Amino acid sequence: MNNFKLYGYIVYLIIGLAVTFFVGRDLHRKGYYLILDLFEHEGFTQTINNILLVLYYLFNMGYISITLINIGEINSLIELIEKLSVRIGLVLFLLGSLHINNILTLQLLSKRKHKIIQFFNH
Amino acid sequence: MNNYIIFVYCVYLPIALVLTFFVARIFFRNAYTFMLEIFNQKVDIAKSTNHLYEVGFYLINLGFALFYMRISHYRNFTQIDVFEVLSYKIGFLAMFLGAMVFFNLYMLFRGKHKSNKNRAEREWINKYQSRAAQTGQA
Repeated sequence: MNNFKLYGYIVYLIIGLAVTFFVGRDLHRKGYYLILDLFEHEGFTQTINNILLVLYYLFNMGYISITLINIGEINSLIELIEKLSVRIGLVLFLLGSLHINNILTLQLLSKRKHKIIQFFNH
Repeated sequence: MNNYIIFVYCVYLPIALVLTFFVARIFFRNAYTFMLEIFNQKVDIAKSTNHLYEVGFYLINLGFALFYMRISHYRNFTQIDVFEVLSYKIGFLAMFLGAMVFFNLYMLFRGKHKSNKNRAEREWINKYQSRAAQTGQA
């Protein structure tokens, strides 16, 4: 009986961490141009980008490890598949909404670009 | 009975993955043109924004597909139920995908409209300023 729970934990951890890692790498690579458009300074952009990546990893890995604990009782393969799918679906949904939220924030900020550049220059 | 449920999962998952993949690929291949226009022909930003939105689209749709997969609360699962439940689930997923695509399309048109408006305003201001400078010099 405990085996199902163990398999569930392993699969959940692997999928969650892999998705977090790959999506974060993607954001880090492609988001560079958006931040560069905002700040127009390469070193500064690199720094901000790295800080954002680390914060993103911390947040998502924290979420995954918190939700790992209360997966509940699992007695059969069907229950395992269901609980895992609901959990992984929630993680993906959260990641996607955070992702789109980030892009929208960057686009909103780039409208007030001149004010931000002034703010950091003085 | 249990075998039917696992069979439904085995059919549902590949269909959901393939459906999401094709819809996202077709939509974002065509969205690139809009992105170019929204970002004033800046290729770097248009490409990266397009790609980021594509990843977000994948995440949200796959998340919904997995979240919506649970079917074991049906009692006495029979052979007929396999077809009914499968068609219901896949149909709802397809409708969700369609709604997401239309929402994204609306956002694209709105962005295009706004960027056109901004560009026209900027051109008007530039023209006004240059004319003022010319008359001032003369």
